Amino acid sequence: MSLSEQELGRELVRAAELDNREAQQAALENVVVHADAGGHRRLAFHARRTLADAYTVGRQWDKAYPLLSRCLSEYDRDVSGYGPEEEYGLLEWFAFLAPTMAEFPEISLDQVDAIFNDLEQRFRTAGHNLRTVYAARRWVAQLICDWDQEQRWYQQWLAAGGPRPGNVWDFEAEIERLVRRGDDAQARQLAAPVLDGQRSFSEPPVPIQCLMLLPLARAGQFGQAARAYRGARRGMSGKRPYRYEYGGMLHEFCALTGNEWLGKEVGLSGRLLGFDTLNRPNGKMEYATSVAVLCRELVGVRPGRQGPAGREQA
Amino acid sequence: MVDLLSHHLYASPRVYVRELLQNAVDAISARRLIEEFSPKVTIDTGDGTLAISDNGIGLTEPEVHELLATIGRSSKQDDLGFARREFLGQFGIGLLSCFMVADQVRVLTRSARGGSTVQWTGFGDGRYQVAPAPQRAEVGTTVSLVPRAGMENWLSQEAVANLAAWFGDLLPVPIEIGGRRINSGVLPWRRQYASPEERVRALSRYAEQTFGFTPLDAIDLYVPEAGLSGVAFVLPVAANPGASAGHRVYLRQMLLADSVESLLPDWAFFVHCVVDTSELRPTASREALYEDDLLADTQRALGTQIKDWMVELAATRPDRLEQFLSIHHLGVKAVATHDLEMLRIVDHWWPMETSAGPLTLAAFRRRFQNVRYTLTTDEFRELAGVASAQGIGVINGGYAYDVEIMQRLVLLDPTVTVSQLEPADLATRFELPDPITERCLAPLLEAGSAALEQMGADVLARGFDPPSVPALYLVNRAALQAEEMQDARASATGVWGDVLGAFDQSDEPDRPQLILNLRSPVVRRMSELTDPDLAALSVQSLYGQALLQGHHPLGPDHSALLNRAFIGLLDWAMPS
Repeated sequence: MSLSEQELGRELVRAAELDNREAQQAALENVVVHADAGGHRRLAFHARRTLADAYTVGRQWDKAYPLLSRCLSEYDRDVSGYGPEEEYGLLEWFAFLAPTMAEFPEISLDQVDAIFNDLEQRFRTAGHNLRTVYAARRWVAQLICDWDQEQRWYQQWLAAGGPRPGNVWDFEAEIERLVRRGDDAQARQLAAPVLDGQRSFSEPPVPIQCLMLLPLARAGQFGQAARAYRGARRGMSGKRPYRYEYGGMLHEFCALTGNEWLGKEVGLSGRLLGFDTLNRPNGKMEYATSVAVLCRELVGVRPGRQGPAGREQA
Repeated sequence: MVDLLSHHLYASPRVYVRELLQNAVDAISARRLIEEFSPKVTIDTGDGTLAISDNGIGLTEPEVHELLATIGRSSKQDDLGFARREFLGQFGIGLLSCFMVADQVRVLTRSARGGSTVQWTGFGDGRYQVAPAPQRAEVGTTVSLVPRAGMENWLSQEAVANLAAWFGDLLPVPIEIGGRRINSGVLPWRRQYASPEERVRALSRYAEQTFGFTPLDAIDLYVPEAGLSGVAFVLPVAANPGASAGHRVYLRQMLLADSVESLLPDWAFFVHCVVDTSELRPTASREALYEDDLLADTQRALGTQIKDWMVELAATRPDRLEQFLSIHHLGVKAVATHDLEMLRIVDHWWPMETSAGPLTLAAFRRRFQNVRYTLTTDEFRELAGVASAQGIGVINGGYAYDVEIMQRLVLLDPTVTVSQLEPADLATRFELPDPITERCLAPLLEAGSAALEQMGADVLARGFDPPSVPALYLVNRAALQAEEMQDARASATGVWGDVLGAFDQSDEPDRPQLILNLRSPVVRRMSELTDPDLAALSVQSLYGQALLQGHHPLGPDHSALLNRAFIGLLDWAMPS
């Protein structure tokens, strides 16, 4: 059965709006095969991109990479057919997906480096600023704990423009590198205006609030930590998807601050329902570790006990 | 400052009436603290000017000077919010808002704490003067406005009366215009009624007048920590889940806004609320609620009360719950994706589309051991009949939230297994041909397999019901994904080929299958064909028919194959 390009376009929009991730992926896969069968190359390009996003939100990261590769091949086949916005969007998407490849042990670091060289070459050829590329390379260096390399890419990132104002994920990179390096004091200082509500972004400051939970608790700033915790929970209660690591940070904070039962309440059962299908190794490992810490603390703890995240001590 | 107010703070000049009413009510509340009296607010319009008078606490001359200092201090929107928190600050901001419609604002005030009457006159260009005035007959304040050119309409009696009634209908102070009282002054849900039935009727009338619909039910709302009370009216018709329901919010009985979205969780789009609160914080413009922890807690508490209402319905008025679900199932299902109580309600009360007809999930589980679902309605239409004939129960997961709800059933019943119906699994339930039939089929399958080899599909023969379906084309999602990987690897250049190769861990993927139905009379006759070309044409024809039946995509190669089969059969059927 053949569907017209217009019908498929409508189906693509409908599928992209579906709430259920599994059903959304199936519907988008359907659009891709119909678009391929009908020879609607440009529609297939956009459907693949949307499907890849659905896979990543739906925890199936490895399925997104062949789609990215197909889109890059399609673009290379007809570079002049793509407008500047489409081209930039493709490269930004590439830069978003590329760092997560480093999480998969099947891919060697040399291969990751080669992928980044391809990414960088494409940015250079298109005449774009390399800020996004350096940010992605910095994240990979942080992931493998190569702190000298991380510092070098960080400096390159800053030299190319550094964090974009109003972008919470760029600001997160600034905070995350400090927290991962153990520099709690500087992280608290940098994050303070965000946690106080004096500085805002185009998206909720959930990643900052999550990352700062333990540094604040370690510094004995329980009131601030409790406010950050409630802010993060509020931000994560909407439809915006967050990676498992952020949920893990909530569980870990609850576990380590005497709020074990609260930690069990914050979406644990919902996240565990989809956990077995999460195939991004670092995310899986971090979340599993957080839940393990929470479970360890839960054993032998009396119900009803609450620490600083509970209202009583907020 | 006037520019800030009119262009950045307020959405419309109409709020000047609300600000003046707020000042009057605040002044009356302040006087009540020191003496008893009969409060009132009067509004006079005439000769193009407006005067609003109250018999509240009034201002002394030092307070007038302090007021000027307060309002002159700030020019930032955030500061306005802070300034409002105390009496003089609010009074001053209320006055400033008048400059959106007036060139001149005159305040004649006499304090209940003694002193003479003072007159303050402010002008739109920033000048002002303070002077003694003839003693006002009564304690209180009169604010008079002289309109700016082009803004006269905002000060007409009709406009002012409408705005005063709009903002101040529930204010607990009589408001009069031209000797006529224009507000009721009582919260409808707090009023004393002769009987519970009369209260239900009165609230229903209120919803009709306020929201324009007769509610299915009214749910009382009460959140002490937010000083909040009110009613949620359940819509009598289905609402669009994507459209946020606006709620009418009163702040200490003054209308704040009639389209506040943040009051309830997103899922509660099937109710419209009217509430009065004393503790939730308004934004600087007083046109929305400030999003803080208290608002978040209030939102949760209100959501819980709406859920409790549904649980109570299930226990006490199941017929009403069924009526409610038939209209608002989308909202309830949305909650069921993250709330156990609502999951139980959906499990027991909402009939889903299944291969055995409409059944609740609880009833389905009693009938079938496993919960299997299709991801799309097309797939359900294609496979439900066949699955049902094999004794497999299938639920159509093509409706919003249904798959998530089914996947969460394990939280209610840890023994339940929930899975997607994989077409290949279905094939394993079909009857295998006996050895004799298998031998007879061999030439047909051989010819058919050769004919479909270029399409990448295998041809099998199995017995299954119903016999009216001659063939099924079954393809797993995993097969589609494996094909995508293969194509990506084939088109990849440079390092991408190696990287994708590392990700491609799949063994030989399941190929799509064309399953010929041995219980179909057509297929049985096909098995007797001796001409291999005709056998191939027959299999190709059934392949095309199965693709069309299953709404599978038809590429150029499929179309060409169908054409060849069709022409070939015609050629064979017609004598040369």
